[in-house]
Amino acid sequence: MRPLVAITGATGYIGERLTLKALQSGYSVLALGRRPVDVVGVTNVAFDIQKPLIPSLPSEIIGLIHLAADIQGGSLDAEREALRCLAAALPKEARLLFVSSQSAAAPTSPYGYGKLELETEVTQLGGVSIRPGLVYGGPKKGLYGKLCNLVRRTRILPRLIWPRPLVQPIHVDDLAECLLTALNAPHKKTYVFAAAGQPIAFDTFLATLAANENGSRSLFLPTPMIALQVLLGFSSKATGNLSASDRLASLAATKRMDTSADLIKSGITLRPFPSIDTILGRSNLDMSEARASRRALLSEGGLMIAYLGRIKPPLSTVRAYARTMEQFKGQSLLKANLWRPFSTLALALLDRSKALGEREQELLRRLDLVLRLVESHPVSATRWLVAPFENRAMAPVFTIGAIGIAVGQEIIVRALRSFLAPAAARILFNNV
Amino acid sequence: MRAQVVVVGTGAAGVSAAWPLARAGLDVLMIDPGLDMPTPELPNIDYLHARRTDDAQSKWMFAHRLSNLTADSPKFRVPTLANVFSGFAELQKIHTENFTAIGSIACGGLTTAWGAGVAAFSESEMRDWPLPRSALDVHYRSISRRIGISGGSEDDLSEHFGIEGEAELPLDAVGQYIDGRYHSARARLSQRDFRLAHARLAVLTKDRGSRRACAQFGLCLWGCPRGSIYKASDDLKDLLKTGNLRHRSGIFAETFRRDGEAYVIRFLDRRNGQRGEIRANRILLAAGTLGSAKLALDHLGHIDKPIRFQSTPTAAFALLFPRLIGRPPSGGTGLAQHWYQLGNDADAVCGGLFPTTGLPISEFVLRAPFARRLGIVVLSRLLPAMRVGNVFFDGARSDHRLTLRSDGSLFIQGNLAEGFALHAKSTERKLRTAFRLIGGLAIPGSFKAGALGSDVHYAGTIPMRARPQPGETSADGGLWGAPGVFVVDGSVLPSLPPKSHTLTIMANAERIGCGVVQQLSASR
Repeated sequence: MRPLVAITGATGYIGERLTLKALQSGYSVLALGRRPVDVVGVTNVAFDIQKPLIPSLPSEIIGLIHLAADIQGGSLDAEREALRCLAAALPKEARLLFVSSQSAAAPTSPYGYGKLELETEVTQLGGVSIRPGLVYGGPKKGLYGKLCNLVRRTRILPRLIWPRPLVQPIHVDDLAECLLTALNAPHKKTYVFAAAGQPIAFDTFLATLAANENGSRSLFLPTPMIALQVLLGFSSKATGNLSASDRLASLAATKRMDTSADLIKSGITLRPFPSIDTILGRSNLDMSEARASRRALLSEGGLMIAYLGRIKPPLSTVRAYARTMEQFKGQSLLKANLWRPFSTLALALLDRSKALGEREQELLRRLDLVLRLVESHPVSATRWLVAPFENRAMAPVFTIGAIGIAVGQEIIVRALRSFLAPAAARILFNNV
Repeated sequence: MRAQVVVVGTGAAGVSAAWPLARAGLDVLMIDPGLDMPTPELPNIDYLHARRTDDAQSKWMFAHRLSNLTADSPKFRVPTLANVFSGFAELQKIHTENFTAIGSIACGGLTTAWGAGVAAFSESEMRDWPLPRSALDVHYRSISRRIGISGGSEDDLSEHFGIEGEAELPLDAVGQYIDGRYHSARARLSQRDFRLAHARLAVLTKDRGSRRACAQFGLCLWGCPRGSIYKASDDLKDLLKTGNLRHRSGIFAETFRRDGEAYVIRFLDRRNGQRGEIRANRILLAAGTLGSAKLALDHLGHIDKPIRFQSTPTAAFALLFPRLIGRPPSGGTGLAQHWYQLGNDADAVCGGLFPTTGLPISEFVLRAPFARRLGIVVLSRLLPAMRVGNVFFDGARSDHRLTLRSDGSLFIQGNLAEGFALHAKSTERKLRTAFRLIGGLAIPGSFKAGALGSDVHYAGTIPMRARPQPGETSADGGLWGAPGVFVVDGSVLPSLPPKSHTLTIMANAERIGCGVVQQLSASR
């Protein structure tokens, strides 16, 4: 049996990545939330932090990662009540992990004080609190998504002065790893875990996001911190959403948090925050890696679609392939930009071959996915269901002719397969 | 919560048992664990048209998942039916060995995704029952009227079906060809004990209430957008209109216990994770052959002791009609158009012949001995001249074990009775010959046995007996040792002949429901 871990806020920015990471690491996931998570291996249980009730959790659960937070600026009492409900529902041996914020380390804002109060509650309940720094990377959601949007819309960024605030970024996947590690840490000990990288200036952080979004450097306008806070204060009053500005302001005002001890203890090495130069140089670091990996998946999808469907790969289908792959594994298997006739022959040689290694089996799984994606495009409906029979009088002859050719090709492919399959694998697979 | 009668489950059995209760004006509460999750919407046009024009077809055709296409029914992979099958094994905590446990915790149960085949049991098929065949007559008739049955009448399978269609559904080109060939080879086929006729299906040929007549859209695999195929959730809507009945979804009955004259059902509310209780004078278990068995065994404290039950082992094969090669795909219903029976008595098997148009070509490509790229060419050309056939074997050919464990999980061990392989082999041989006589070539290597349990015809976990023992039920469906608790679904069928058993479950459920009404009015 896979160990079972419960996650609140599994549909959120961190929750979504954490869920995938947990599944990949061999856990089953129980998602507690208002909206169901539609991923294989996830069971859903209804839970609402604004109207918390004690959920029913199976006894085999090994721990609960509480990510859900009230971002509408609701009452702290409800959040505390939610914590108590969750703790009450947990079996005795299971661990409660509360994802707090760096702002709780030395709070200066209501947001930070609130988090600190909840951390105290967690300690009383025998749980563990995690203080992540500024989370980035992965899908553009949450605060990270908001910041990406912000820098995409404007080419001029504030260079914050008086004071020049620092942030400690952590990649969302690294945070997920920290959380899963904390889940398995020795029991019977409550503590606070600082999960954040080396401090960098907040404007450098924004500039890096901008480089990633826009592919170019941004201009800077020196802005006093106080002005930004006033500005954000206005906009948040207008939208009624307190949290973005509040969380930003509190993060920006946060003092440096020493993380090395916690990280060394947990044995996790955080990836370095990429520099603007590496992003613009498209080298192999974090965020540009996501782009390169998507490009490779798009190219791989294109090759397989052309192989199966004998069509110019429709953009929507190629994208659907890359999206689905990212949701599950995220790594391309085939070399990019192969010459089509070459890759088609090589794919035919590996398709249905008997002696299958792990890579080959993975390739066949992907071909089955592509087969379904190709079939569900209108172009295939015409090519598979209509075109072969258009000439009524000659259809029987054409049909038998086409089948005869395909059977002949199959015989040739089978004959070649026995000694050319290894060469085909060398041509097709990248060496990662 | 309180109710005079609680019906656990809103599938075919639950709604059939609820009708007499609601008509008698009893206070009835129906519960099921379903949570209504959004599923993609189906186009309201015919399959071929939808495929050529719908740019968003990938949303409803396939689930975008990275997994090997497996050899079981394509139904289990269809996103529009995901609600029907998902969450069953997890919620019921089912573990299996050599068995694929399929069930539903959704409102309407498995009828939302069924093949709509209907047939009545014959006298000899009911020889293990503690009641005469005639006791079901009136209920077969009333259920048939309620759900609406189309298909043949007075033909070579009238005896097999024991029930006639009100009107015929049109046949597609292959169907008409099969009709003609069967007619000319009928004498020779009857010598071989092979009979064929138009299937009897729970499909409407005339509009009725919110359900529309079948328009041959061919989207049957994905769930009919017109509601032509009967599903229990349609019945539930009509039941609610009677005003005597309440329905709560998201309620998973975990256990029940006696409390004085009444029973208390302990449930988990899946919408908020809370546990709660319902008080009832009578309980009707309609949670399915596995779900009801779990509740009954738990109540009896029958822990860690295996019980037997049956399913109908299945096989499938592909038939090619060489004379039809070159014809374009034609529309029409995607359900079985023809039904056949081979052999007599204990050796009898039956099955349906299904059109291939409304099935994804990829389902066939994965089974064909070709590189996928070439398989697409071959199959897209051949499929319009093909039928998929299935075979149902007698339930007595299976011998499964089900155990309720002390941790509340169900363990199922699937087994075949001795001699099955030999029987299957000889059946395959006979079917090949029979189909050759109607112009169909059973494609070599295509005859494959289905995974045990993938037939989804389960029965006999708590069988009805004349003298029930612990873990059995009496002829009126009453559970041994629990007066006032009745089991109304497939669990109580003592045996499983090789044919569609849904209609019989429904007729029997209605019969038990009528009995409960009589009992309650007598006690008043």
